[in-house]
Amino acid sequence: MSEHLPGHGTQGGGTPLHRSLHALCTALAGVGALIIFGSAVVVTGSVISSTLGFGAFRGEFELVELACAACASLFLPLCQLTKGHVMVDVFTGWLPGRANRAIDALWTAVFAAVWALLCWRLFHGLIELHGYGDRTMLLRAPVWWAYVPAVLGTGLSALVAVYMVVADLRAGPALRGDNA
Amino acid sequence: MTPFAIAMVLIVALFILIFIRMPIALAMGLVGAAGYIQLSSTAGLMAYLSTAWVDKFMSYDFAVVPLFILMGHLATSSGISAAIFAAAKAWIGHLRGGLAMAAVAGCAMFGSISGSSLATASTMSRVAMPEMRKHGFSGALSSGALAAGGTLGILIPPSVVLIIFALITEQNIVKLFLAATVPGILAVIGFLIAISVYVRLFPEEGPVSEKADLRQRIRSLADIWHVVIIFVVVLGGIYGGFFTPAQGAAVGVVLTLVLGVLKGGLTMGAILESLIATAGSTAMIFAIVFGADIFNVALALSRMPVEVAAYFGASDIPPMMILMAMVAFYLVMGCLMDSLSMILLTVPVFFPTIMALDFGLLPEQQAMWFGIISLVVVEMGLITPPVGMNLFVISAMARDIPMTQIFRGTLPFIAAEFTRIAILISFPALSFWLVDLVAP
Amino acid sequence: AEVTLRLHHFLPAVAPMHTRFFEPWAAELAEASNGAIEVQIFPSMQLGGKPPQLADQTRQGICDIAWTLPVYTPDRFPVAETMSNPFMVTNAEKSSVVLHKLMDEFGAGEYRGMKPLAFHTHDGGKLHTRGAPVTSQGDLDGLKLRAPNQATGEMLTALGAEVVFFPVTDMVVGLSNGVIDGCCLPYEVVPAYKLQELTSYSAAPAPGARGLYANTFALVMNEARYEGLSDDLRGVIDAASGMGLSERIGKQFDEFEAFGKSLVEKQGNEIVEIPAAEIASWQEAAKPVHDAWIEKLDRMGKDGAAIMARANALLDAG
Ligand code: NA
Ligand code: NA
Repeated sequence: MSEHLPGHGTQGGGTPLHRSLHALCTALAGVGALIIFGSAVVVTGSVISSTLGFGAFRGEFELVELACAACASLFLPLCQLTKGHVMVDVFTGWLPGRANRAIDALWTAVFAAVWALLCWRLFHGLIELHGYGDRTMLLRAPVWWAYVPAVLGTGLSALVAVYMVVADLRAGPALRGDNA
Repeated sequence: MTPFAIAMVLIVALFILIFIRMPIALAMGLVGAAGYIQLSSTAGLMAYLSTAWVDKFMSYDFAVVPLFILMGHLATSSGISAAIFAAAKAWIGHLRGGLAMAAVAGCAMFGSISGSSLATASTMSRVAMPEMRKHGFSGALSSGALAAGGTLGILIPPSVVLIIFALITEQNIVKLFLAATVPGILAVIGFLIAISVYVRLFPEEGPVSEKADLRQRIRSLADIWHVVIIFVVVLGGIYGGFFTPAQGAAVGVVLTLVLGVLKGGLTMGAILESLIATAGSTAMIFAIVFGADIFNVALALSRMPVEVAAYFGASDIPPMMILMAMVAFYLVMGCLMDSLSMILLTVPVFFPTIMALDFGLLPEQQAMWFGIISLVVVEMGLITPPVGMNLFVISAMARDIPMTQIFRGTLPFIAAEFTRIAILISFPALSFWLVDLVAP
Repeated sequence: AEVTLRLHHFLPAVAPMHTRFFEPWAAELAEASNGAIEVQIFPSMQLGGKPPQLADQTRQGICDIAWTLPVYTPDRFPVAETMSNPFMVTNAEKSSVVLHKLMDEFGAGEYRGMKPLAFHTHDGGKLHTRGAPVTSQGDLDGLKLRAPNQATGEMLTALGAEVVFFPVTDMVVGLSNGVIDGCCLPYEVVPAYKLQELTSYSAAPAPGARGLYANTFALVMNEARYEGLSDDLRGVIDAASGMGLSERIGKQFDEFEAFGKSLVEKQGNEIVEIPAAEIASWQEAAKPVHDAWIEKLDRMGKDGAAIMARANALLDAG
């Protein structure tokens, strides 16, 4: 992964499409991070309140769980766009850079298919849980809420992966010939 | 094909896909899915996938990962971590490999407030990696020290893995935490020796800093009061009975933000940057955790780990040989699996087997001894190539270091761990004498 | 084996439920079917997911048989959940029979896509505390207690306790460092968490009084899988399930309870009795919890008052 420095990894980095995708993914990631940070503030508040004798907030554990599920999903697209998914390059190092790039493009295409499949399945899960009306025990938050960011995150990841494969193919031989 | 043979095919397939550059998360997920279909059904897999992602991460245990990663980013952006390293440099920078030793010591400190190895590795690499590189340390040594140091997150109590072990073997968690203390200290010593040997063999990889005078040393300590406050509040909170370790993660994040803002290093822009950076590393870790989850379920369906464990249990070989065989099995599986799943799949079979053998120990001592050995061996899986989560965490943080170097950098620490396992097996008392002393 | 059934549950393999019920029961099925049925047991959620998913996993065929708690999916199985309200347990054996009858009478359609094999409860919960024993409502005032389910939490709150809902991992750590003062659980789980070493006092209602609470459990099988079996094998499953099985599991939980209690005694902890008159006044305080439950059942189109009354009548008759 030595050749992938953050921000330099993607071909066609300057296009308006790339910029808007990047802005969208960053915004989602930011929202996810704010959610998990917010849950930390609530837990801290609960601990302080409990220590001072005012009692803990009911359902803080559930809130953190919901926040964790949300941020896990919302973080995904940015990771895909910045080629953050880690791989082991030890055994393909001897191949020419162009071969490595072709392999990477292939796996990105597979990623696109996998995220799309997962998005479809999670959408199915969302509909089903919405139908059941399942709620969390204490906060009585509908469980299907947690599936909304999941569908969003996996769906956008699929689109990002497709975009990266296309951009890679369009960039053509000019970029594929360079050294690894 | 028998389920056992299918499991073997899955393992080989996973190796091959990893070797041909497939991202780890994808490789584990795809191989796992193929195994799932083969061993169960496509309909079963589809049903599983409709809830598994949300299910996995709607979890308090996993929430500590983004929380501690965020804490690490905030500490770095605010300059708090640079202050730790300035102090470490002032005190031990003149030793060979001093900063790498400081990184291990930092991991040990962080590990005593965090129960997760991934969180420890990611936080401390955020803190220590830039400093070590700035001072001319090689990528191999820096990443090796941090990957190994990261394992102290579960080796030193509190420890998520030990809690799980206690629950599935019905052990007293307080006593197990106590039991892990001496082996945890041994780990720190082992890592320090590994660094010291390494830099003697390759002096250019861990340069020496100028020796600071006493005045500089004292002044460096004055700059780390933020860290002292965070440490005292979180550790004091956990052991003083104000909150649980999981709640401690949340308190640590908020406290770091507040102190960073007060200190003046943490601007709005820096906070936003920390939030976005948290997203990248967390998503990478969670994607692998999810892929590993599917792979582990496929292995569970094959019942291969259960059968291997049962085979050892039923065999007619001396107790010590059985124990060694189990350790070997863990080490091999640890190259590919994550620690928690390995414990969940095999301990239910291994534990009764070990407890039925005669090692000349009291049952409670034997249980603690086996718990500590399992913990150490399983934790080694985090740093053994090719699938070692701590290695990936570090790789994601320092993308300019090739994986080859990261793998090479872990070798001395793996050697140190082998030595420690041998010591712990040879001297069982190390794993329980503190418990006998404090809580007879 | 002709048929392999995957049984999924959330307890570790050392748990008595695993070693003394699931394993023998699987062996009995194999023997009764002359080896045609093999039950593979997957403890500790080895097939993935979390305990609340177990019923869905069975319905969707991810596993064939699962052991699950209705209380984990609030309102999904409201009739089965009814007896998870406070003070709706005598002992495990009798309460299990009551639950099974209640499900036969009111809960027939509740486990859609699943074939219920057994319904049961554990014995009533006890109050395990660190600092001081609990024998009266006054002792509960401001006490930080970990509640086992929401309805019991509301009851304890009404009695003046400061209730938290920690997951078990945090409960164990919280009991050892003093974040919480105690918990409400049956003796049966004492060995699982080494509760006897984490607490010093256990308070149990006087003999004859209702237990504080009990969770309800369902052992369910994928319906299509069951229907797809040959007549012979379905007969084997039928003979090994139903009211007789519910009673048997309940009886076993009473034995687990006695064993857990013996550990508490061996530890030298103080065991105190909550007087029957005190329990009666607690029951009065818990009335709003029951009323709210009846209203909820009514909203769901069930006859809440009738279900509750029938359960209480069966418990009193037991
Ligand atoms: Na730790
Ligand atoms: Na490994």
